[in-house]
Amino acid sequence: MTTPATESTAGSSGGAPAVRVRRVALVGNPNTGKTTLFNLLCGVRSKTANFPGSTVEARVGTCVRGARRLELVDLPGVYGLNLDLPESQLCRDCIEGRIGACQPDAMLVVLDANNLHRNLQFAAAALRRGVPTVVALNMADLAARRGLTIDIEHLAQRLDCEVVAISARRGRGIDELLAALDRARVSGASFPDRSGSAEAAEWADAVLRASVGGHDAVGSSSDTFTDRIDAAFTHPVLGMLVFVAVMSGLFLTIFWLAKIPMDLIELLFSTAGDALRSHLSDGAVRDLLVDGVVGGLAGVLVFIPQICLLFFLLSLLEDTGYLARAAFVMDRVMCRFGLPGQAFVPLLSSHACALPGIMATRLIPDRHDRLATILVAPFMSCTARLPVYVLLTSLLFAGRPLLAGMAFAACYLLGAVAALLTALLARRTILRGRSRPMVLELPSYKWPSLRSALLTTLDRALVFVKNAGTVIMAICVVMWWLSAYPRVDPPPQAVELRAQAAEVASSDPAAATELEAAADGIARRNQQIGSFAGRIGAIAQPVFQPLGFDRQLTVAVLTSFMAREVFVSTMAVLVGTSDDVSDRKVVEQLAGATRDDGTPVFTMATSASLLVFFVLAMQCLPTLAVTRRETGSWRWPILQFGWMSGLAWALAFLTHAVVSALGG
Amino acid sequence: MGTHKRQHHEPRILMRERAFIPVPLSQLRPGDRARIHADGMKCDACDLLNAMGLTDRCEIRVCKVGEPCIVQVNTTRLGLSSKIAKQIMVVPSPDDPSRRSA
Repeated sequence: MTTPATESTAGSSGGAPAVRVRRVALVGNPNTGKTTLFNLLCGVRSKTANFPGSTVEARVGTCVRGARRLELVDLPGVYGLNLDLPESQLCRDCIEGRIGACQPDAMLVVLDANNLHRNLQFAAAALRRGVPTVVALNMADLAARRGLTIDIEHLAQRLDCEVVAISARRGRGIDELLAALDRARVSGASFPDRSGSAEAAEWADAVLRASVGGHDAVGSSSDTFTDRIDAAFTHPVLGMLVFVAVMSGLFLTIFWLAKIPMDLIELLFSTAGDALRSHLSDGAVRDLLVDGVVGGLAGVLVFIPQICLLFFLLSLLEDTGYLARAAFVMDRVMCRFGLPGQAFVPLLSSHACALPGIMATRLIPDRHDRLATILVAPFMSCTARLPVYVLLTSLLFAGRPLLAGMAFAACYLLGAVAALLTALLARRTILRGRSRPMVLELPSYKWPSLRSALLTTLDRALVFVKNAGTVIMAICVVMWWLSAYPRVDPPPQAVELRAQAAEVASSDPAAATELEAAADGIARRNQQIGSFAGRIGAIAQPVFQPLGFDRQLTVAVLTSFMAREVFVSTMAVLVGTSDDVSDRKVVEQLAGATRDDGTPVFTMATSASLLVFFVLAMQCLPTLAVTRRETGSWRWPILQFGWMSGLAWALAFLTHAVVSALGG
Repeated sequence: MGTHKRQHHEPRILMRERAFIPVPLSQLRPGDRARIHADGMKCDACDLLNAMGLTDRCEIRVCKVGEPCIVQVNTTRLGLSSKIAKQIMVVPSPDDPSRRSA
C-alpha cells in the first residue's frame, strides 16, 4: 500500500508476541520532534531527571489517555547509540536496563519522515538492541506536503515492527501510536552491523527506494534560499551584526518585561513579611519567619521572571533554527579561549544573573565545555553588583562622572577578561582534552512551537524553585541567623535617643521619627558588630588587612557572601545611613565614614581594591548552590569559590599596593 | 579579485582531473557536488560525522565554504568547522551541472 505520508499505522504479523507496556523510552536523532511528542503526550506531568552516575539529563513524564497510563522517558537526542558521548551512554544504559529506575518495557523510536535516509539507519541500530519497539514517523504531514509518499506497510515489513505516521506538532496519529505501543514487539529482521557505515547507507537507500516515492525521496536537492540565509547568518561580519541585534533584542526584552513581575514579587513578599510581623509576637520565631524564611525566599524567587523569560525566549529562538547558526558565529571568538560558540548565551545571560546563566549552559553538548562555562559564568558582572559598583566608583571619582563611568565600564571588562582567561587556564589544566569538534546539524528554519517553549520554561522554573526551596533557602536562613544572633542590647546612645524621641513625640512628631531612626541605625550597627557574623569578621580581619579593609569593611564583605548587594545595606547600617546609593547625600555620608582610629574608611587605595575584589570574588551562595546542582558535585562550587575568591584577593592586594604606592 | 586570490593560494586543478582526484572538502565551491572519498574521513569526529549521515561514498552538496563549511547530505544540512572540512577528502562529481559551464 503506497499512500501519501499522512497518518496511518502498519505492522507485520510475524515476530515475537507483543508485551504489556508500562514504561516507554523515547529515542531518536536530534531535531526529529521527539521532545515535541513527549510534551504533547505528558504536558505538565513531567519532570527533569538526573540519573545516578550520569551527567546528562532526561525527562520523565506520565501519559494518561483514557484508561491507558504510560510512563515515558524522553532520552537525549543522539545521532548514534554507540557513540562515545555521555548522551549516547545514557541512552544505552537506559535501553539495556542498567539504570534501574528507567528500564523500559518498550522503545519508541521517533524518526523524521523528511530525513529518512539517516533516520532509518538509526532505527536499524535501535531495533538491533532486542527491545520491543514501535517506530513513529514524525512530521508526516510536512513530508506529504513535500510530495513524499511513504509505503508504511512495506516499511513496517522491512523493519518488522509497528510503524505509525504522526505529526506531533499537530497532534495527529497519536491515538494510533499509543494503540501500536500495546503491540510493541522485538524485531526479527536483519540489519546492517554498524550504523553510519557505507553498508548501512546502502541498506537505507534500498529501503527508501522500495518504500518512499516522490520528488527528493532519495538524494539531495538544492535550496538556494536557505543557502543564502545560512551564508548571511554565519558570515563573519553580517552574521555578527545579526547576532548582536538578536541578542540585544532578547536581553532588552528580558530586562523590560521582567521588571514588573520582579517588582510585584518583592511587593508580595514585603507585604507577607509585614503581615507576619504584625500578627506574630516579638521573638525568635517571628524573626526567623520574617527575616530568615520570607526574606530569604524573596531574595531568590525574585529571579524567577528573568529565568522564565530567558528560557522561554531561548526555547523559541532554538526552535526557529537560528541558534545553531549563531553558535558558529560565536565559535570564532570563543574557541580562542577554549570555549564553544554555545557558551556565549550563558555568559551573556550571566550579566543579568549567574543563576539563569549557569542553567542555560545545558545548551552546551560537551561536558568539559559546559563545566568550563559554569566555572567562569559568575565572573560576568551581574545586576547584583551594580549598587556596589555605583557606590565605589562614586567614592573613587567623586565629582568626575566621566572617570566614574569609565571605571564602571572597566569593571565589566575586568570580569569578562577574568572569565575568558580562567576558561583558557581551565581547559589547559583541569579540563584538558579535546573539545568536541564544531559539527552541528543545521535544522530547517521554522516557526517555533509556543507550547514547547512554555513547557520548557515551566520545567526550568520548577527546577529552580525546587532548588531555591531547599538548598538556597537553608543557606539564606543560616546567613540570617549568623548576622542576627546572638542578640545584642542597644547601646546607651540608642536608648537615650529613644527616650528623647518619646519626650518630643507629642510636640514634634517629625523630630521624634528622626530620633527613632537614628536610634535604630545605632542599634543595628551594634547588633551587626556583636553578631556571630560580626565576630567572624573581627577574626577574619587580619586576612583582609593587606587589602586595606578595616573591621567594618570586613564584616560588610563577609555578610555580602550571601548576596553581593547586601554589602551596601550592611555598610549603610554600619555607617548609620540609608542604602540608596543614587542619593548623593548617602554617598557623602559613606565617604565620610571613619575607622576606629578616626582615619577614613574609603581611601583611594581601599576603594580601588574593594572594587576589584567585588568584580572578581564569588559572593553569591545561591550561585554556588546552582553550580552544585548543575554539575552534580560539590567539587566544582568549591573550586569556583576558591579560585574566584583567591584571584579576587590577589588582584585586590596588588591594586591596593599599586594605588598606595602612587599616593592614593 | 577574489578569483585571483583563490588561484594564487590553491593551484587550479583542471575539471577532468578534479573529477578523479580526491580533494579536501574545504577546496570545493558553493553549489559543487561531490562524494565522500572511501576512507576519506580521518578526522577527530569521524564516528559522529558517520552517524550524522556523512558516510563513505555518500553524495554531498556544498552550500557554503569557509567558516563554517555547510554541506547538504540528502535532506540534512551540516555545519562543519573549516578545520574538520580540511580533513574530509571528497571526489568532485564529474556530472555536476555547475561544472559543465565552468
